[in-house]
Amino acid sequence: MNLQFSDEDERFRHSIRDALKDLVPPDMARRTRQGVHPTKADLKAWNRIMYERGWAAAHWPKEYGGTGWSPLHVHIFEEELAAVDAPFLSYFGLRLVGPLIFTFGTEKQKKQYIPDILTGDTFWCQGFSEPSSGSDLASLRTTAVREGDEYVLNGQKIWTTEAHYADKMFCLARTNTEVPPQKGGLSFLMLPMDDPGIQVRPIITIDEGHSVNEVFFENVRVPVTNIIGEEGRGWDYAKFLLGNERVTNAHVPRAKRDLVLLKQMAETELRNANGTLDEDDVRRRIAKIEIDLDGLEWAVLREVIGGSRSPAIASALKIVASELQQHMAELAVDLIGARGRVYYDEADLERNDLAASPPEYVPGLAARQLFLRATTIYAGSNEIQRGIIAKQQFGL
Amino acid sequence: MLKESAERFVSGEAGFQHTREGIRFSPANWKTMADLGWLLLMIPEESGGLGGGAIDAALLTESFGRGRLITPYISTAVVAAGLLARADDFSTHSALLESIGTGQALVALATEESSSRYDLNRITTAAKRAAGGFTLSGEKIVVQDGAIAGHFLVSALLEGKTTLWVVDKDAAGLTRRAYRTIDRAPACDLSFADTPATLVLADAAAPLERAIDQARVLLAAEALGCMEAALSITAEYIKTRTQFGRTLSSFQTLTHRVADCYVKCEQLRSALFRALSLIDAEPRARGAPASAALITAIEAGEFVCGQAIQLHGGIGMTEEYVVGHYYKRIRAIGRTYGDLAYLRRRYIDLTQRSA
Repeated sequence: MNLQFSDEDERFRHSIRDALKDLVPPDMARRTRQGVHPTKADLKAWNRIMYERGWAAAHWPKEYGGTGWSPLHVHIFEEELAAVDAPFLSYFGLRLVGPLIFTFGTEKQKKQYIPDILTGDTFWCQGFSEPSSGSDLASLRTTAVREGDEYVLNGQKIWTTEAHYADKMFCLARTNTEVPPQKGGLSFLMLPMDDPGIQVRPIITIDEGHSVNEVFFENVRVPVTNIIGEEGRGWDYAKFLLGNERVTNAHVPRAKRDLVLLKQMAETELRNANGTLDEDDVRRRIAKIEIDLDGLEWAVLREVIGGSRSPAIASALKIVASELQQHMAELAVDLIGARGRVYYDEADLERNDLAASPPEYVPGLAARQLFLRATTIYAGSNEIQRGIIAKQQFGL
Repeated sequence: MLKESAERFVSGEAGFQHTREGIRFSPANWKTMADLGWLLLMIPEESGGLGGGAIDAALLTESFGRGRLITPYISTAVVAAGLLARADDFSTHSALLESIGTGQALVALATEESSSRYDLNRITTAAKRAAGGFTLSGEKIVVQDGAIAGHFLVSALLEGKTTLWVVDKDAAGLTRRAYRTIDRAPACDLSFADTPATLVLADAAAPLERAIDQARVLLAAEALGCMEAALSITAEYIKTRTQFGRTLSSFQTLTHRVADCYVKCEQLRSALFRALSLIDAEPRARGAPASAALITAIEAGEFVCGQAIQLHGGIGMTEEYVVGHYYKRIRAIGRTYGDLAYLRRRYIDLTQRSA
C-alpha cells in the first residue's frame, strides 16, 4: 500500500486551503482552540457556512448531498479544516443518523430528514447509553411498546451528548422484550426533543463543562413511521454506527492540529523556561506523540481506503487514539507550570480577563486534560475494546 | 487521638459528602479547626503554640485529603506560621502569628511568578527603600488560598538576596485578582506597585525552602488520603456494579488494576514516612526525601485517582461524584510547590551532584 499524495491530491489540498482562508471567524477559531465543548451557536454558524459551499457532509455520497470525494480527499479536507481551527461539526446528524437514514431509511424519511441535517437546521442527539448499560448495550431497558400506529416509549438515557442542543433524538429502545436485544429485541426510533414526555437534565463533567445529559422518557408517543429500517434490527444498525464511530473517534485531523500547537507551545515555554523545564524530556515526549500519531494516521488511512472493517482494527484504533489524546493533553498542561492548576471560567475567556496573565494557548488546557479522561471510557471503554480484540482476532 | 478526631471531623459536616453543592472553603470549618487547637499545632511553644511536629500535621492533612476538604491549613497554619515564627524581628509579627493560631488571620504565601516555575530564587519582584520603610513592586501568580487571605507573605529581591515580606491585603498599590483553581481552592494573582511591606526575613532562601519542604510532605500526605479514599470507593463500586450479567469485580483485569493501586498507595505511605522522619534534618538530607515523597504522590496519585475514574466509567467523570474531585486535587497538588519536572531536577541536584 502506498499513501504518497499525488500531484492531484496536492492540488486538491491547496484548493481547499485557499477556500478556507479567512473563512473561520477569529473568535470561533479561538473558542475551538481553547474550548472543550463547542457552543451551539458556533456549530450552527459553521454548519451553515460549510453547507453553502456544499461541504457540510463532505464524507457523504453525492446523491445525498455529499461531495463524493475519495476517502483520501475527505481526509485531506478534514485536515485542512482542523488546521484553521474550524469547529468539528455536530456529530450526531452528519456522522450517525444521516448515514443511518440514507442507508436503511425509507425514501420519505430521506426527504424529510436529510436536508435539515445538511443545513444544520436540525440538531440531533443519540440515545444509546443507559444507567444500567454503559459499555453493555445488550442490557438496555428503555421500552417502546406498540399501541396501534404508535410506540409508547418509557425509560432513561444517560451521557447523551448535546441533548440540550438537539431538536431530535434517534434512540435505541426495546420493541420486543420477549427476545434478547441481539436477537431482534431492539429498534431505532426517531423522536422530537420538545415532546412533553421528554425531560433533559444536564450532567456537569469534571472539567465543569456541560456537554452530556440525562434524558427521561415518560409515555412518549412515537408514530411507527419514525422507526429507522426494520423493527428488531436495532442491534445490527448500532454495530454499523459504532463501526463508523470508532474510526472517526480517532480524530486524527484534530490531533495533528493539536500536535502543531503543542510543538509551538513547547518552543515558547522552553525558551522562557531558561533551563527550568527538562528539555530532553519534553522533546522525547513530543517525539513519542508524533511517532504514535503518524502510526495512527496510517492506520486510519489503511482502514478508510482498504476498508477491512475488522472489528479488532476498529478497537485498536480506539485504544491508540484515546490514549494519544490523553498524552497530548497531559504534556500540554505539564508545559505551563503553575497555570496548569488555574480554572479558567468561560465568561472570563469571552471578556479576555484572564487569571495569571497567560499566553493565549493556556486557558482551556487544564479543562481539556480533565475532560479527555473520558476518551478511554466512552464509545466502549478501552477494557471493552481489549476484550473485543481478544475475542474477534484470536477467539479468546 | 489527633487522628481519630481528624477522621471524625472529615467524615462529618466538613467532608465532601455533606458539601457536594459546590465544595469551597468553609469559615465554620476553619473555626472548628481553631477550636480543636489544630491551628496552633505547628507554632513553636515559645511563640505560644503547641510545638507539634510534621508527623502530627501529616495526620491532619491525610484526613483532609480523605474528606476532600478545601482548607488553607498548609498555606496558613504550616507555611506562614512557620515562617512568621522565625521572623528576624519576632515582636513585629507576633500578633499576626497569634491570629493565625486563633483562626482570625489567613496568611497566604506568594512566591510564584510568571516565569519562576517553582524556583524560589527566580523572581523579579523587588523591594526597595522608601520614606518610612520599604515597598514592593512586581507580580505574583496562582497564590494558593490567596483569594481568602488577609495577608500575604511575599518573596522579593533586595540587593540581590531573596527576602520575605508581609503585605496587608488592603495595602496601597496592591491589586488582587481572585479566582479558583481546578480543585476549587481559592487563589489569586497579585500585582504590587510601590506597595508598603514589612520585612519578615532578610535572608529568606533557606527558611523558605524548609517551610516549602514541609508543605511538600504534607501535600504528599493529603494525596495519600485522596488516593486511599478513591481506591476504597472504587473497590466497593466494582463489587456492586454489574455489566454483561456479572459484577465488574468478576473481571480480573479490573481487580488487578485495584491491586496495582494498592501497591502504589503503600509505596507512597513508605516514601511519606521516610520524608517525615527526615523533615528536621539538614537541608540536603531533608530536601531529597521530601521531594521524593511529593514525586511519588504525584505519579501514584495520577494513576490511582485516574484509575478510580476509569473503573467507575461515566459516573466517575461527573462533577457530582467524589472520585473526580480526588483526581483534580492530585492534579493541583502536582502543580503547587513544584511539579514533576521541578522536583525531579531538585532531587537530582540534591543526590547526584556534590555540594
